[in-house]
Amino acid sequence: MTQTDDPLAAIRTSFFQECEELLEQLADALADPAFAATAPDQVNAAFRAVHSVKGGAASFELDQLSAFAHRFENTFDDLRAGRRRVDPALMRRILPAADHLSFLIEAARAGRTCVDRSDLLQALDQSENPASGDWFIRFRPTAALYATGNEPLHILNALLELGDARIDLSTETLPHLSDINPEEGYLSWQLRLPGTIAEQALRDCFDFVEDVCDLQITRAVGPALSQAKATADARRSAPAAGDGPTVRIDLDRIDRLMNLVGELVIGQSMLEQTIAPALANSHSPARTAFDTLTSLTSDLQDSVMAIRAQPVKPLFQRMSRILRDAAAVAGKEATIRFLGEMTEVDRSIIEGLTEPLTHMIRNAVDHGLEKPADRRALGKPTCGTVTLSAAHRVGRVLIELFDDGAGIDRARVRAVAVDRGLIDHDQRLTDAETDALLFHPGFSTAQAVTSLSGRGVGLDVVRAALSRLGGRITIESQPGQGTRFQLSLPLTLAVTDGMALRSGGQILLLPLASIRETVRVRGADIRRLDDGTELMQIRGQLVSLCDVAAVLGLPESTPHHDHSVAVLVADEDGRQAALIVDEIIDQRQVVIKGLRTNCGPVAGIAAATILGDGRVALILDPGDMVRRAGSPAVPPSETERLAG
Amino acid sequence: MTRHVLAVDDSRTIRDLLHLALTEAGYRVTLAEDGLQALEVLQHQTPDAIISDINMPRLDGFGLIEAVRRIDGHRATPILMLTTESAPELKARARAAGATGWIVKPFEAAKLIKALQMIAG
Repeated sequence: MTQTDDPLAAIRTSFFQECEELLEQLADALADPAFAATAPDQVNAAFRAVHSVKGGAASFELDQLSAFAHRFENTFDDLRAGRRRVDPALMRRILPAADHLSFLIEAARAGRTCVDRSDLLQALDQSENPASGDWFIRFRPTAALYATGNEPLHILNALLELGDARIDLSTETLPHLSDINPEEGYLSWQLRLPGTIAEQALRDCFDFVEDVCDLQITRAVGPALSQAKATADARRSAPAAGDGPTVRIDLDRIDRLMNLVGELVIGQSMLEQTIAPALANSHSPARTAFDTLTSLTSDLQDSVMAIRAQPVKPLFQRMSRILRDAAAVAGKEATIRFLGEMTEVDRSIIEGLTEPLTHMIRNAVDHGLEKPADRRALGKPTCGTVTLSAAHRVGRVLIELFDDGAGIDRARVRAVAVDRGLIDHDQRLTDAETDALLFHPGFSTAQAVTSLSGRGVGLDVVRAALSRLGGRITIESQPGQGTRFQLSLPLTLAVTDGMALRSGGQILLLPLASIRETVRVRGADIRRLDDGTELMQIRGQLVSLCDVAAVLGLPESTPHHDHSVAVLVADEDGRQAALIVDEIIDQRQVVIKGLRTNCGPVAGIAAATILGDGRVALILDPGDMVRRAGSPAVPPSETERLAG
Repeated sequence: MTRHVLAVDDSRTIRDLLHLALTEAGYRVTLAEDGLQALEVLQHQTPDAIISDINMPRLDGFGLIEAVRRIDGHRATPILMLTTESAPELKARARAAGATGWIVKPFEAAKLIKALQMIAG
């Protein structure tokens, strides 16, 4: 939220932000299979979402939106009161109405009006099944109700005070006298009370016995009776919307806090260096106090990070809608499947992923999935499946997008690449190299520019967007089976555990997660190939060498690598390289300071940090180093960074 | 018939407030300062309901309920717990010990009487 002179405008902005969250909650509730069974939690969640939209819209006099939300809300209110139940017909009417609600919000945000779709609401009302109004209560005390000194008579008397009631005692479960256990409860009651009584008043009579009886309270209409139990449960769960109370915080404030914690970490490490002698004795009071401080700082850091971390679920859900729209335009059938949607990632990364993922989903529908008739002919289900998954992997988050479509038409990719002069017509490419052509700027095999993923915007845009987040993208395709995109991203853009190294007279940091092992280099272990590639034998295995100083253009201090140290690193795909450095200094946590806004992408460098003594140190990009290893040394300025 | 209530609380102020609220509503009231004193009262009297605090010296509210539920003649006596907060875990503990109902302190006289009617008529 930005500072503005008009406080109302600021709240209005915040309202529309909230609307996005509410729409996600609504989509979440509707997509839950439990909603189709009129489960109270999901029905309540949907109701609350629409209700909140209505409330906010009314405050800002967004009449069209609030009127629609108001009538839409009634449907959920009927459901949660047990006056209606969800059936497939109603579901088919609710979904378009939910879509229209989001259109209305978009329109309201842009200050436009939207086409009138009260027909959607009329459709919702048509399956209306109005209740007669009377309350119907089924009350069956358990043994515990009697054991805790409660007395059904007092409860029934309290109900009678609320209004004329018809009370029927049911003795169905009463056993023969000789079989009666005096501690057990066998009786149950059915009551009918006027519908004019507030539900809460009825509920209050059962306040002390809710947990020691079977209770069903519902509007007494024929078909709704079976819903009574759900309704009773609904009230119990109604207030428990989330996992606890929440507060909305300006993102700038969290970022400021984050920065301060970063500075605190730096300050602490400066302090550590300054008072090192006092800390040397592990039993000294200074040591104990400093250890406490360290542990607190670390907890503080984790807590701040946790504030910014969010599950990828809302992002994935947004993709579900994009897939639906894309499939409708392309005349294809598609469903989306989520895996690991509760994986938490820093908010800034989630935000940065929206655009590339949107593009990739459209791509998958447009270019990946076949038309239903073609799929049928191939013996595939007519409805294509796109799978989105998220998982934590070696200190990074791995997001995969997989479609079960036709896979990449490599012959066609090749033809286009030759046609555009990207490759020579007789150039030999591996499958992976052919697939990688898709990331070339402006590359598109789409026959026609469609409203979806055409427009000449290709995967190069996706790659660039990921690169800005410190991410990489790889592609893998099986003809006839589908295409899999793998996105690897940092968990956060803020802090990393690193190993401090010295190379070419500079202190450099290497993210700890990428390090496999470290070895002392002996000249005899190094093999030099004709093309200048250097390999090193580590435990009988040949690994490409990468001289860090050479890649970064630093003065090489040990030309023959003798006496230097090799740090074995691996990227997300498990490919390894041995980075040659002069020495290992120590291990430390560093605050990441982005370089890209100032310097743009730099070969082999991911970011920078500030050391304890105030000096700036560069943080290496292990993945980029691995890719550079084995290729002849090229001045960094002339090589374009690969996908990350 | 005048209903008889045993009110148990270690705070004199609360005892006075309970006494006032209950007598004004037409109840006959016996007061006790803690669980043990309450159990002594129960040896000679059979109140229609017990209202008890939880935190008390010597024998607390939970202990009192458990003891009452073991005494023949008092096993079904309704017991209303006075809790300082409506913490669900406190309610759950009171319920597990055998409490009939609960009311949150500070209480309003009307609410107290309503709760009492719900459990003791």
